[in-house]
Amino acid sequence: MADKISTVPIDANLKDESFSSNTHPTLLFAEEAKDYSGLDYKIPSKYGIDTLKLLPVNVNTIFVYWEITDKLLNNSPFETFALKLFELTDSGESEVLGFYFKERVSGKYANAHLPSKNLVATIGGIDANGRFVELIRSNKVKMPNDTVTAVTQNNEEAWMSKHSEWTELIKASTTAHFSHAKSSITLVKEMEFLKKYADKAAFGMSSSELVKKD
Amino acid sequence: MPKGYFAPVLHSHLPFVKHPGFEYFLEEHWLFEAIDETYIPLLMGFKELEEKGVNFKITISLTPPLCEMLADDYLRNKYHGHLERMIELCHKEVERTKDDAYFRDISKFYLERFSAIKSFFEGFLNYDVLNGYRHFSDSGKIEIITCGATHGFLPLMSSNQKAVEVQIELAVATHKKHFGKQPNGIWLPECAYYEGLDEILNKNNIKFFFMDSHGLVYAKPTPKFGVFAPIYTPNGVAAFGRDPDSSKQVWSSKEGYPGDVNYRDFYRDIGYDLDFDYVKPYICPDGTRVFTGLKYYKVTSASEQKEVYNRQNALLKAKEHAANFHINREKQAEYLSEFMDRPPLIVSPYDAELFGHWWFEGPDFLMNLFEEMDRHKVVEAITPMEYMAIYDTNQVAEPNPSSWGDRGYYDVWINGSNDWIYRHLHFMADKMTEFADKYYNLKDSVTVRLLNQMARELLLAQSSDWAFLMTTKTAVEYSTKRTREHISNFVKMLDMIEEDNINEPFLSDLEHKNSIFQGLDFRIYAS
Repeated sequence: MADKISTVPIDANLKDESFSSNTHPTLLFAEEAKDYSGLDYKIPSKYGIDTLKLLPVNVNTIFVYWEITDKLLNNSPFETFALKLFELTDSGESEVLGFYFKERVSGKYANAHLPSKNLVATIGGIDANGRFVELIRSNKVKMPNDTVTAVTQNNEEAWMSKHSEWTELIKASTTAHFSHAKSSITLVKEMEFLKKYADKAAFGMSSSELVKKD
Repeated sequence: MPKGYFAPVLHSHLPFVKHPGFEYFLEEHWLFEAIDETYIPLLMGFKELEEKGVNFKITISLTPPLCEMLADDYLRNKYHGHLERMIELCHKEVERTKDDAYFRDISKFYLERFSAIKSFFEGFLNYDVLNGYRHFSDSGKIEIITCGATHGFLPLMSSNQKAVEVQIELAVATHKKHFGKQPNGIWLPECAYYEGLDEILNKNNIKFFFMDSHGLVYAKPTPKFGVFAPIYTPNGVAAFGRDPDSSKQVWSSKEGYPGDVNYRDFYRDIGYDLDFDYVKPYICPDGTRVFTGLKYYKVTSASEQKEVYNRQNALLKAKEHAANFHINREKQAEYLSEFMDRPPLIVSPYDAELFGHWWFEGPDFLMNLFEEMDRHKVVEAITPMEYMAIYDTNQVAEPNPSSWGDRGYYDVWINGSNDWIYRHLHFMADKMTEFADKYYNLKDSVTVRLLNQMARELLLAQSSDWAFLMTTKTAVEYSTKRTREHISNFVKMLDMIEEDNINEPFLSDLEHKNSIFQGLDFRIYAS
């Protein structure tokens, strides 16, 4: 089981890049509130409920947190646990990564490029024979996409292969703003590939694909 | 037919801030600054356009917390007091600078400005800022849309679908309460989308929402027209994508208009610049220097040496920038229309508070822009509903999960600085849905009040503002304590119910302080 865990740093200096919600007005207002002080509020560190949650962060990162209660381990006092992350496909589940841990209440970031994948995780105890005994199953999540995608159902309307309209429009629709995105060179290459594909095979959006809204 | 359509969108939001125990509370002052510098100047500008007969169309989101604050009697009275105090300060400033040729004009400008704002608030608005929005909504000039009930970051609460549903249902109900009609559209908090959200929007009769560019570019399939026409999601809700070019012209710190040397400098304020004893009555009572709103300098340059602000020069520059922005949209529309079978739609969303609060001349820029468009009639301002009335056939695609935050996904709202909050938020949401079913038929009025307040504390804790501020390391203490406060309140009330021992004075205090959504019924969380 490959251990692909690492923390995910976020730019400390978000204000340098102001073309986004980074200049959120709340931030501007809050700049004044640096010296705020007041009451402290006590909150629990755990809730005594068996928990395993998956939260997508971006195309390459997922956050997972858990709590394993004493009650769950009443009959099976495991010392080592494992988390397995699965991709859900039409044919079932296939493991994409996993890691071992001992903490009963914790959270971790897992890194793997999983665009558009449906994922689920399980936590299990490792028994004396080294076998994985499933204890908790997580919520399912869908990861975001980072690729230009073409329609392939038909070639009724081959506008994309005859002209460069689509390439121009998609280039105009993108920006260097989102750093997760491919570079413009990669994007153009990707679209050129799609265009070649369109010339050879079924490719394009049919007017019949356009759905009239109620 | 115009060569293109332009759909400006202003997202207006502040987190719910109300501190009744304090005569002055800094975070309440955020609201007052936003009213002084953004909401009223925009409404005054729209009124002027209306009187001139200039055609303008704009979409404005007013979030439920903002509507609740703007409608709150306590905060409205406090705002009126704030205006009176500002005018008192302006009078003192006019007197102080009467022999100072350098600052005399600028101090008079502020006196006139605040007097005009006060007259507008007392007159046209009748002491209620929402009246201005209602007026332009009724006349069809502004499409007012809603947002998540407390600006919750929906993808990160979606493990409990009910939590998302309540954010939307309550937002729609709050919009109806304040505007008397169903909202057609929604500004998704932080433009954050996840697969399946459109089903909840559709159930709530939401017709459209907005996304960052890559929400459409990486949709499945990538749309034929990129971001220059909306798509329909599988559940039939329209998604409009942000145009990167027009956004960048305003947003960019390097190339954007707000950085022009003639515009007012945001940071230099007499609250920091003048003698402490003199400004003390107008800053924090504890002596902390804060912005008063009287800023006398222009951007000038990147250096500390600033020159005095010249209002007339700044207004000329705002006019010039509007003309430049307009000609760029004309060129953009001409270029794009070569590749499309219909005029391109250019969607330009911004935080409303950027206009006026951060960029003081932003409202003037916007009004000039509408005048340019009305004069040239090449690019026409439009709202999403009007666009869909003309072009009701649009491509179907599955939008890409995304946000408009740094890096484009969810990183800003979940990272090492704030991931600790989700364990609590998820527990609270799960517990709330459990209790809504368990106590659905409960009659005891005190326990019902307690459950309603638990729902309020959950909703307030879910605000995306707190996670955002933790990430940016701005007001970390405030945002952390606000989050912990709501979690702590929730857990205390949970214990009270489970121990059947309700502390009514504690409950009453919370009901007064965290009073958002007065008519909230916890049963909204029932399955």
